[in-house]
Amino acid sequence: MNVRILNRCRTKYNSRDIKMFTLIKRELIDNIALLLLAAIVPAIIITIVIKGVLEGVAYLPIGIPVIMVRILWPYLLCGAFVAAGCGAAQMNDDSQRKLSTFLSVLATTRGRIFIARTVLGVMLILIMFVPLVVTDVVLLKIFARPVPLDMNFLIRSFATILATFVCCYAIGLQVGWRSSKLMAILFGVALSAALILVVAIKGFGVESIIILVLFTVASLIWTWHKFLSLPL
Amino acid sequence: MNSQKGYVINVVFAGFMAVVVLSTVLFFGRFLCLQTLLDLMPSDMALVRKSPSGLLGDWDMWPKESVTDSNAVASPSSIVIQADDDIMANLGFLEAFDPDNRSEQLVSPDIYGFSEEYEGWRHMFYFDKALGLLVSCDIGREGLDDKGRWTGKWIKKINWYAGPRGISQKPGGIGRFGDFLVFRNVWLPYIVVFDRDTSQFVRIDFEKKEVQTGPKIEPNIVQIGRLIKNDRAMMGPILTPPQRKITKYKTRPNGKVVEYARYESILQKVSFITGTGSELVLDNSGTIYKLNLETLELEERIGALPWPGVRGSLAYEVKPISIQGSYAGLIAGGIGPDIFRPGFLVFDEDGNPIREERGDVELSRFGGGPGLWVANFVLETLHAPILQLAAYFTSLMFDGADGPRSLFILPNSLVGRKGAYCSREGLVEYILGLWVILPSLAISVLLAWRVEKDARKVGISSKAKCWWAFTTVAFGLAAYITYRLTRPQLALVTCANCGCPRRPDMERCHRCGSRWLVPELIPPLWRVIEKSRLDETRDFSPDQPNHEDSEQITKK
Repeated sequence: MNVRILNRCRTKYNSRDIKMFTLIKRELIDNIALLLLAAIVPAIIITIVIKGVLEGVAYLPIGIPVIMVRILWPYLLCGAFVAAGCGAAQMNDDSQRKLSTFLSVLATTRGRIFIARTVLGVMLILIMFVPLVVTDVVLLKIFARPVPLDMNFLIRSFATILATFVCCYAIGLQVGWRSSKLMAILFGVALSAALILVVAIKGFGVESIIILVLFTVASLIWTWHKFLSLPL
Repeated sequence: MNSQKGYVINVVFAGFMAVVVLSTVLFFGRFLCLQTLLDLMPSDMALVRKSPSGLLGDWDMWPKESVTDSNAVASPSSIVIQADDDIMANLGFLEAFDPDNRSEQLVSPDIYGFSEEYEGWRHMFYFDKALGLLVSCDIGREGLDDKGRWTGKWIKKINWYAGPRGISQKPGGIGRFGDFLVFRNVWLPYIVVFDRDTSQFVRIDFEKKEVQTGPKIEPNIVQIGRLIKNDRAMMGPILTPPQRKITKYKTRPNGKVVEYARYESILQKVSFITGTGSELVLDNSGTIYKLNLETLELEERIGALPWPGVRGSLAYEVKPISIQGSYAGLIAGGIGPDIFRPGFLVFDEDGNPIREERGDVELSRFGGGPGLWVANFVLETLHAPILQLAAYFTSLMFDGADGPRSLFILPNSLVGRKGAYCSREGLVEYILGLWVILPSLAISVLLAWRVEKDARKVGISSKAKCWWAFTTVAFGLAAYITYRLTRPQLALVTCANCGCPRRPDMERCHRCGSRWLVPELIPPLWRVIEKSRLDETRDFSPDQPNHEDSEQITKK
């Protein structure tokens, strides 16, 4: 943890609450390595997609480029495990280094600490998610299809992938409060695998999204209650 | 925070997570059982076969009837259908993981055909959702490089727009299609559209620039032309025409004469079309009609699917048969909700059923069959009884193709199939058929008893105990797992009054009801005694404390 920032917080906000932005900033600096890891996943996937689309330019441009569809599963698997691992590592760091214990003596609440942590998680997921979506949209604009595309398929797929990332991150947070960091990450990844199987059974679609969203809500609320009532 | 409220929230959400994770694990357990069962099953049991087909008339026994060659060996025609032994093909993940099998997703469900490339151009029909019109266009590239490769941009030349009221080079004034089905045959110069909003067939001829509308029809049409559903789940129906084996001789370079066999069939005389000027259509009830492409009227009923309704089948395919260009009948093959029961119906040219064959798996005929079936049943039994009850009453509402993907309510389970069967037998049978849920209910009651026993030990209030018992009976193993995850994790202390373990976070002992402070003058209800004297003091039971005494002590 960056103690210097906290000391500055302590002096600057001596009589006031620590602002949410400061908490998020602290989370960001503490977990910069995780964010970099999260950035590697879309970077690899985007490279593969661009290469595949450029190779397919000579063929009749109807429908979604094959590579954009083929890459969905590898992307889902990599992203989901990274998200679960990040969530677990984030929570485990807190447990090991007693970050929340220290922050609780300052003018803030556990709820705000948890929200700041979740905001960072959402940022992490967006870092993994948004660049690929933007790349696909830009590629489909540059190499425009003369016949309307079945965009519904891509929208469904990306919505399911986003829901899976968020859900796996929530699971990571939930199982992360363990003594061993390795066990926390492994447990998070194992539970994520069970959720990925839900997508494997149902496919990319509304049914998967509903299950994943409900699971995310349930997991986050459970973690919230646990985090707020846990003896530090 | 209100701890009671927090506990309830925890239980509800932990319960939901337990249901999802448990259902997923059980799904893959059942998946493994069924897949192993299919792998172990002898190949003759997995397929349904009928010979002769009955469709080819005199040709069915062709070599016997028409050949005088003494070498000919009769092999009559036959029909075969088989469920695909890879049930993974029914899972949703293939949609994106194996896009080659789902080419319509890659191309677009709105493209109804495109021609072969000719000088860099392709002709194409597609539906423009924004306009609500069918579009006929040419797509190609302009510009060639030195090596003769097309280098320019892809361009589209729109030829015509077609709507329900006409054809035009501009999109306005020709109406809009809403919900519709399209039939397109590359050999025909026109497209036939069934407009579901008006229940009429519309024929669009782009060459003659004509739009012809047929009369209103009653049946709710769901498919035109190729009648097929979830074809990845099965192989067939395959019609094998009769063959004869002809023994021939040839001389090798060394002068030796060798014998070899050659097979001849009448395949060239059999084609899988309805004949000229008509096409198959399927309505929602599973009835197959012939559509006259000239008048756009439905002709007579010519067949039906082997299982009632379009939604009732896991998969189906209908194959019309023509001999030398004239319609001879059709084969309607499919798999019911049960993956182990492929079957087919054969209809003659007048729509009369002439053959019916349905598969039946005898599990005792192969090693491991009964064991795997029992394992599958046990895994189904571990599902929540309330979800099994839902499957019993709602299995007919599910699409047959959704069964293999079901996670929570299992229409393809034994309970679901029993419910579907009993619903057709009458109300009494429908109610009596509920016995299939009893094993699951028995497990749930056992788990509820375990929960109640543990809850008493932990000191959960009687109201909460009731809720837990009720929930465990309803949700079975999932509720039990939830209980284990959310039960209070407290170190119990010895009660000063009754001597039994009591919760430190409650004001009164959950066993004897006494408060924390017990006046010293009143002797406690418990004693430490030697084991040898246990029989003498059998009437003294610390588990049955005198509550009245406790109350009096408190009042004093």
